[in-house]
Amino acid sequence: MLVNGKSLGAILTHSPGTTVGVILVSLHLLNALFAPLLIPYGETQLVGQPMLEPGHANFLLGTDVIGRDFLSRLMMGGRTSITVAMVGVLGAVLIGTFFAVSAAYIGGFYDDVIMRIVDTKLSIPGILFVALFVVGFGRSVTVLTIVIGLSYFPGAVRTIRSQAMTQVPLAYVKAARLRGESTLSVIFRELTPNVVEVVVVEFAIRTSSAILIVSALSFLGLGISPPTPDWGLMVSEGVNQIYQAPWLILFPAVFISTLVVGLNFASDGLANALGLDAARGLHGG
Amino acid sequence: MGKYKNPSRRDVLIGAGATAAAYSMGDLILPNTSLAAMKPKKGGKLTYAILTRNSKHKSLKTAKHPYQGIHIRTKNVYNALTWVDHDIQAQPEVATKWEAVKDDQTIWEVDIREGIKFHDGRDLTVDDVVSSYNFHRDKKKGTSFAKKMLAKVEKAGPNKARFFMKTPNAEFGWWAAEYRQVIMPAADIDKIGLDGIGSGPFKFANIDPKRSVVYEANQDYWGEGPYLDNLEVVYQQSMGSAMNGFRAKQFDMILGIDPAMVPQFEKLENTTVDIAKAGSQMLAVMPKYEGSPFMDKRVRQALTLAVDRQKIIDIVYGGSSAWLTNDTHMADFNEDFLPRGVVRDVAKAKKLLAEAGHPNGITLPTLYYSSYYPEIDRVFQVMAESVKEAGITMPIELKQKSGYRKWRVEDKKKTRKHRFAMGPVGPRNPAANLFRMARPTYNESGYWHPNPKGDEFIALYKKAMATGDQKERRAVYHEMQRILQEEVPTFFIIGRRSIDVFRSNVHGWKAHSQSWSGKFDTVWKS
Repeated sequence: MLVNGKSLGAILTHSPGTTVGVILVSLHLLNALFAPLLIPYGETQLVGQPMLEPGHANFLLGTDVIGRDFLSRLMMGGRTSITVAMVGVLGAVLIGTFFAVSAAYIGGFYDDVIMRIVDTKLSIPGILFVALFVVGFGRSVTVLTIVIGLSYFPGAVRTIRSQAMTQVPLAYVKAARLRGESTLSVIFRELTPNVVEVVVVEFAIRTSSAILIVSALSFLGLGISPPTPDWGLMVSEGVNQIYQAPWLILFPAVFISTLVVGLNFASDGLANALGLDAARGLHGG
Repeated sequence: MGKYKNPSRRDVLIGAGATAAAYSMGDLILPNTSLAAMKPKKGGKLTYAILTRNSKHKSLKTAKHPYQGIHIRTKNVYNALTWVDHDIQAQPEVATKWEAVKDDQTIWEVDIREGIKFHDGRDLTVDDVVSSYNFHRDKKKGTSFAKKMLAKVEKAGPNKARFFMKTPNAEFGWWAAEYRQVIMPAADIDKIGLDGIGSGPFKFANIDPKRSVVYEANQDYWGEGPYLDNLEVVYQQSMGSAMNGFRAKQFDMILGIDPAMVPQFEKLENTTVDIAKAGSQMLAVMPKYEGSPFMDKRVRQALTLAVDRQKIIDIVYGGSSAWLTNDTHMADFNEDFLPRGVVRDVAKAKKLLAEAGHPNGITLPTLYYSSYYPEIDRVFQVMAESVKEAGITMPIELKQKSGYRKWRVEDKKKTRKHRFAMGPVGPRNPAANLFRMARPTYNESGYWHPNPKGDEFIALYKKAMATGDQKERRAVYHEMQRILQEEVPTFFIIGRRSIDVFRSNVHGWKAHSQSWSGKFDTVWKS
């Protein structure tokens, strides 16, 4: 498969950082996919004494505050966060792509309306918006996914629109119009394929940020509800035990950070390989 | 076997020297038991942290009113007619004596203590008692127990007040100890209590709404103490921040700590962890309306038989700082408490579910709860896991504490269908506990009326309240508890024991089962 004239393998091994990032993300995704088959105990099952230390004969990473196998919960803990973050951001990026490209192409009043909506949303602090939304509509996985999507939609629109704006004046777009292609056809068949690299990088960058937001929400008691395992929730559950069982915070923190670092490395490398400026995406909100 | 050896002169000298040194260093070696430490010392400031906000006021205008500052805050500034002590007995406070003057327990006379002064120097008189209780029983502004139970109060002598109850109340002494039912200087109903003047051991000095309150000693206090010059209560949002404050010596004491943190506190130097006899219970109101699975008594019975309460105690409470509830709102310290015959029976729970048409188990509606106590998350997770054994799937959802109570009440008003939701209840006397289970207006009752058994329960309640003899009353209480255990209108999950932690230089404090009844009057620092 070739993207921008480069093979996928070349892109993924573009730099040592990219390779590390891709490996970390792959490991996390594989774990999220196969964790139910791999975990030694049920993730909510009470199997031992509370707070057994890591290295225990029956529990490799010990047990949590109520005696559940900590390794099993860690392995299962990323599934919801990753799903919420990925589906939410994917929705934001896909829908955002349509609005971004159409705004860039149609311009005028339509563009103004879209961008003022985007500006309005970007003026609201992200975590505050998400917290208010969750308080108002509940904290189900669906609600969390929607709010993550809404939260990242404006940033995605802004970034992708700026890329689309560079394409609109180009000859191939004019040619399409002269051929009599409809507006939707130009948007979907001409412009969108030419911003897809930005979309991919945008997705990767924003997913790492969304992982952190979902974890932060769970930590604050606004995200995933117990007993579902979630890394942010696990940090929150362990925070009072920091002096006697620091691993209860350490391990989930390591899992969150390796995934986020991996996503950042991978997206950075991807952007570089594709000749894009990843930082541009980060500034989009 | 070792041989006895007569001590040499050298041994005697060494022993005498060691004894003298130990005696002179008594405070250092045995701070709580040395003679020097046992004698209360005046002065100093004590700062304690609490994890429930302990106040309802939104502005400084109402901040000093006894209904706004609840729990221990109230006891710092105000006195009630009676007080519930650490052994859960009603003790005299403003009242020196209370007795029923009618056999049916509807009229009570109370002798008012002489020599009590309010913080503004005025004498506390029977007129203040009458005025205060007229406020407490006021339909719009009064407080729950007084509104529901008190018909009239009048002056019956220079130091005597007469209380006319709406219905018999053999437990008057307990009733009069309710934390809001304090005695304030007589005033109009619209103004009484707003000045924050009470007759308690401390006076308001400074209030930072929703954050902290500073008190100063009432030098004219009628009872023993206060020994401290100043007292400060600080609200902490999380157990972690409270603990860090304690470690950093910002706080001398934390009230109501997370039981899982007991080992951490026990490792700290010069720190005392004190566990009360009892504490609040966590209950779940089971909605009963057409379509609710809880309409079927067998489902309710199955649920209470399925939950592994002992496991909750062992896992969440370290095996000791909680007690087995009996589905009646009664606390186990109470002599009238009737333990359940069978605490857990998974096979019977399954059988009941099968009879109720759920042979393959049942998925209950989501049980909502809020973080009233630091360990609550763990209690609910262990509970939800333990009922799985009986085929009960119980989704649980943590709601934010802010607005939780309002959400439950508004939800009920809006839909007429209350939620399957948790509530906290404090330990009181049998009359108050069982009264709450009888009244359909209380959330805690699970709204189980009308119901023939419910009617029988109310009849028994009335009988108990009209029975002056404590032993006879106990027999009725037991009968009432048997009905509740059979009907299970409300699901009582677990009872906790309050745990307080304080520095070893703090003396005179004991964790109180009724967190709101702890008093700082005899507390001092060495």
